[in-house]
Amino acid sequence: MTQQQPDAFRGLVDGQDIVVEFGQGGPEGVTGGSRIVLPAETARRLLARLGDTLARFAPEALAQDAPLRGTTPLNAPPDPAGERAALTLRLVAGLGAPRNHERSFRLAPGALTANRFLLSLNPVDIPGDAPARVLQACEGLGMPQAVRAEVARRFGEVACVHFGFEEGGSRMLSKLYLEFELGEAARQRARAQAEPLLLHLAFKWAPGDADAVVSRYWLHPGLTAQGIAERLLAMYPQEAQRPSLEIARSVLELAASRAPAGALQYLEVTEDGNPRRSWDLNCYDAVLQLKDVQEALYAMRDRFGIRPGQFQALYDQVRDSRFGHLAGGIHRDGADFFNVYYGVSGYPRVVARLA
Amino acid sequence: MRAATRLEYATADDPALNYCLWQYVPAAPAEDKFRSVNLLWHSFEVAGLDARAGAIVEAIRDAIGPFRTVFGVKLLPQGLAWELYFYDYERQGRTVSAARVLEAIAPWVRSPVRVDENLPYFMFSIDLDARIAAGEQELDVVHMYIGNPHSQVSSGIAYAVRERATTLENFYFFFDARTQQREAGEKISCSAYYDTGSLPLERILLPELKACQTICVANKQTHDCVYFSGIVVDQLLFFLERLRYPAALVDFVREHRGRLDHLRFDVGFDYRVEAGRLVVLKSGYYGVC
Repeated sequence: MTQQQPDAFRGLVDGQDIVVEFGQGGPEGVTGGSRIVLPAETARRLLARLGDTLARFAPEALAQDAPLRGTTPLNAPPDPAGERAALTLRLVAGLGAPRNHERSFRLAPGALTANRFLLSLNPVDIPGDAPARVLQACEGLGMPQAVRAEVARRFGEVACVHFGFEEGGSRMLSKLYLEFELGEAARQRARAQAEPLLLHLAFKWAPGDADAVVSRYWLHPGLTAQGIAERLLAMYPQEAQRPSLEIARSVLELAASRAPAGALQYLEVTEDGNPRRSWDLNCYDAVLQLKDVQEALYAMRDRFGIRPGQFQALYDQVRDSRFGHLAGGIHRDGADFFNVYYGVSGYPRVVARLA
Repeated sequence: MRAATRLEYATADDPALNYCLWQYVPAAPAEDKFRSVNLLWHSFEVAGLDARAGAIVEAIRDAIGPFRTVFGVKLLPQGLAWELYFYDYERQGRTVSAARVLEAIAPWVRSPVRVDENLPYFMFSIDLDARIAAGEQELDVVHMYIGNPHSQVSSGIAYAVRERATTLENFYFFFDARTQQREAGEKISCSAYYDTGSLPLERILLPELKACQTICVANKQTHDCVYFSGIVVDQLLFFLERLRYPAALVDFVREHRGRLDHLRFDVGFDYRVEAGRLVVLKSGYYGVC
């Protein structure tokens, strides 16, 4: 070994040996030092020992003038959507009631968004003052003050509440759906008069919004599959919308073939002040898995120009999940879309009446 | 379900695996292109196979996971047939066992075969044809593959396991196509079924295919076999046309060449040389599902 401290090295492979030369670094490379020849196995052991030894030294102690090294942050930067979703889950879990958890994904022109879920609870299962606690959770989610009074006013009619979260593009939405108890008499009257009934009143807002979008979900009770098909036709009046109509019909046809007569629940959705006109078909009673509607899903993918590899990555994970709802139509932004809801699960158990 | 409606597309996380489930570097970026399983689905459709065939493959995937099954599409004199191959290099510590696969397909395929799971097999395969898929015939053989310790060449031995007996089938020898091509040629030439004076080696070690990653030479009971592993899509097209596959299969690959060009394929053919003529007994191409 030379007396001068080596400050550079180079290595090369020579047959089965590893050769390391230590010396002084300069324009001509490594010079004036020593040469060590190690069998590969010895080099491997040396590497392990060096790693163990160097672990005792903090990186900055290796050399005072060592160039800056990239450092891995101890905690990755927070993801706003992840935090918002986690907040929703935490606040709803904090209500202390059994709840159903249902995921969904949306397909729209050029976009596939899958960070969406609904949490459903029955107010009678919430300990204490259920309306106050639900509103407190909504406040925690930044529900605009402008709509909280409406929620409080209507709470007495509510059979079920659903908290929703959705991430799409640059926006996150929190949602609260109030589901009303509809008695058999009201359903029969509505059937006889061919009038819809308000089943859900939903409030949807993004963090910081001063007001919420209010959506009304109208149940058309007792519709046959043919009746639903006719209403779907009215939802897609333009020729350019025909492919979406065909997709919707294909799912309706399959679900109707598997579900008991009259078991498919059909809703239509309106919102004040925007062009939203959409529908929702509840297919849980058809006992289908997502892979049973694969053809329709692929058709949606192709219709909206979604990258097939991107869709495949999602579909591979969910294809065996229970197929729940299909929603579609024209969204408030004027775009054609489909929402696919699937895989309801329960904490601590699935509550059948909430499904 | 028609093949067109069950096409699968590569995701960013798909592994690139050859017919031994060894990883390879894709020939091109893969995302949004076809998975090789689409070749299998399409071959089922071309053959008019019972829908149960698809259900069998799906059941296996559900049981052992995706990208763990190698499929072979074979062309025999009587038509198309298939073979499904399973690897678990943990051997006796395996999770992918013959018992597990046979149990997974039991709703569709009866089989009296029982493989001794204490044996050090690293691979097994099952045949699938129209009659087995339709439930008209039971699966009466499982092909079991074990290693060949202390062989100078990477190699394996195949046995046919039946209900009442296990018999020796084939020997397989693997050669690096870049560094051991001479050795592969010597292996092909050292055969009871090939008079090297009667037929040029290039008729077997095809120049169009030997530019690949691995060449495997198999000695079988009545003939030999050569496999070319890691070929690209244009070589696959050459192979399909050379071996006279049904036009529908060839057209599918040609039509979708741009969606298959990331894959490396594995192909092979069984042959004998008779009176100076190469007789191809069967051939096959492989993928992963």
